[in-house]
Amino acid sequence: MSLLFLFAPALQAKENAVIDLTILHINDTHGHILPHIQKSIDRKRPVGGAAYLAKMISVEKTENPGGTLILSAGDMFQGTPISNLFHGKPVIELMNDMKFDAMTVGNHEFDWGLHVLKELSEAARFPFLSANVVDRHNRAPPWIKPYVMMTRQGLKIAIFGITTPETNALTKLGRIGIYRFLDPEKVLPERIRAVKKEGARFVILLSHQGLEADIDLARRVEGIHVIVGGDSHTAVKTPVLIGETIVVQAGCCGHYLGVLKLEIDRESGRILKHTRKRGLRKVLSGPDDSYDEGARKIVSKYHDQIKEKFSRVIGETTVDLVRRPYHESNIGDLVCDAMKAATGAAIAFQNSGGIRTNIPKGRITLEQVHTLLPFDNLLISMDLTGKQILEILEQGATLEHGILQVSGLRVVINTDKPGGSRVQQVTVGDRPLDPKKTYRVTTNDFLAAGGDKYAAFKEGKKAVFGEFIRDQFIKYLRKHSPVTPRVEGRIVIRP
Amino acid sequence: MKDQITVYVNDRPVSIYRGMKVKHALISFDQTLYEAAEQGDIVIEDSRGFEVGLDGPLREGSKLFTRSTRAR
Repeated sequence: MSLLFLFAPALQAKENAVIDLTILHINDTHGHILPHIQKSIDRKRPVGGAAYLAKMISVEKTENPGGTLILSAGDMFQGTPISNLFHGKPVIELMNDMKFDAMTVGNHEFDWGLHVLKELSEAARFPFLSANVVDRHNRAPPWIKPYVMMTRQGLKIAIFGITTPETNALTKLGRIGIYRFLDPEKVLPERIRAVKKEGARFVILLSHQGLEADIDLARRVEGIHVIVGGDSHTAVKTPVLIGETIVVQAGCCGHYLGVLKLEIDRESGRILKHTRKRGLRKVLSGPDDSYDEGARKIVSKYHDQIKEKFSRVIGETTVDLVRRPYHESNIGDLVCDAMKAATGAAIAFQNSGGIRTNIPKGRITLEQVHTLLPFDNLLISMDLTGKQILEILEQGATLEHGILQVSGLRVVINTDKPGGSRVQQVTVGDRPLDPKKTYRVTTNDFLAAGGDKYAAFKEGKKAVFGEFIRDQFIKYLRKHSPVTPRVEGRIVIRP
Repeated sequence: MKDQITVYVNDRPVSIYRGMKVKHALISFDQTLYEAAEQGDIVIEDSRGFEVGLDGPLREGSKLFTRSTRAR
């Protein structure tokens, strides 16, 4: 006893020299704050759900109350009706409730434009980070910080954010305004040197650029202790060690909470020990799983409001809108007309299988449109030759997956003819389709990937992604209601 | 910038439009694999054996592998 007493100060000094730091992390939640079935994770038990995540975070935090950081690597808001209808506000409110310390700005944070992103950053009680977003004068937006300094158990920690430079190419210019995204490798070394001069002993990078890019960055940039990644939706179940940098990422859609436990030398900031297994904890949300009551109330508040939002009338039809998977349908015509109007393309194609319900004449609610077009399909426009369009129409004429609904052209099909020669006549506007001419065509991303064997869509040129088809359909209805679409002979099937 | 990128599914090259995701690569390669992934019958992994989501983005040269969940 007396010996222990004698050595106690020495033991205490040794203990103080080592800091326990717990990093709890998520990424790419994409608005998934409600539990859902993800069969690749669990066939029957729901996963995800912010209330369940909040409970797990509070339990983990209890284990190391003074040494925990709660971080997000971006793409938090866009992706589900409950988040989209409120432009991400439910997610921010939940993150505030869970006491997040910081998040980086993902490319999808720009989906609703700069003004919405600014509003979200102002509503957050934690900083939005990105060290590589600048305007033409190399200035960052005032509401996005390059980094933040935090102290845990006496350890001064610098937390940087970076956003994938792919945002330059993949996000519409109007959405990112005057901003562009620099190569992180060129930005970070100087920044890291600067924070070390400020006294930072430990550097964390919240990186929204995908696992492979994170690993490359860890190899090329010195001085980063931990990269908390996002963007590639990768479930990094065992942390990757590159030199002295640990790289982690927690899947997507709120399925996992990343838990990285570190023992750090206070003086040097060097990592002495780290989690090597079970770096991800499933967010299970079955009836027997625990949840946080405060977070549940926030989710419920918005869930209840969805019913009201979904009941809103967004248009009107004077006729029943009826699907006909193997024939031209008035609802197919209407959807394709909306697609063509949204993009300015000459021709629009939509697979009948993507149109999921009929709508009776009368007022059209938002819920009906979500039932009609439940898939989050994006418009994609491309140049196709007349020959490629003929191939597409021939595939449709096999009737293997139902007919393609169209706008901008008329086609006559004879199903008595052998496959490959069933398309008898095609006109675009008032002229016959010219196999050698190039036409601007718009379709959905499923078909553009060659879905339902429409291989010719994969050969387009000058391809440009557009908006969600559902959103454009809503805009079209708002503008043109009441609508009276009729089957008008766009697709004639003989005999 | 090129319209299309090449990614690899089970070591076979697949050409997809820039900006497309894991699910598009599967649809383009073999739609039945996409449907199997939706049903949880297979999972998609990267070259390190980590699972990736169907909405995960792809870059030039990304490698994807399918694995049956029955093997787990």
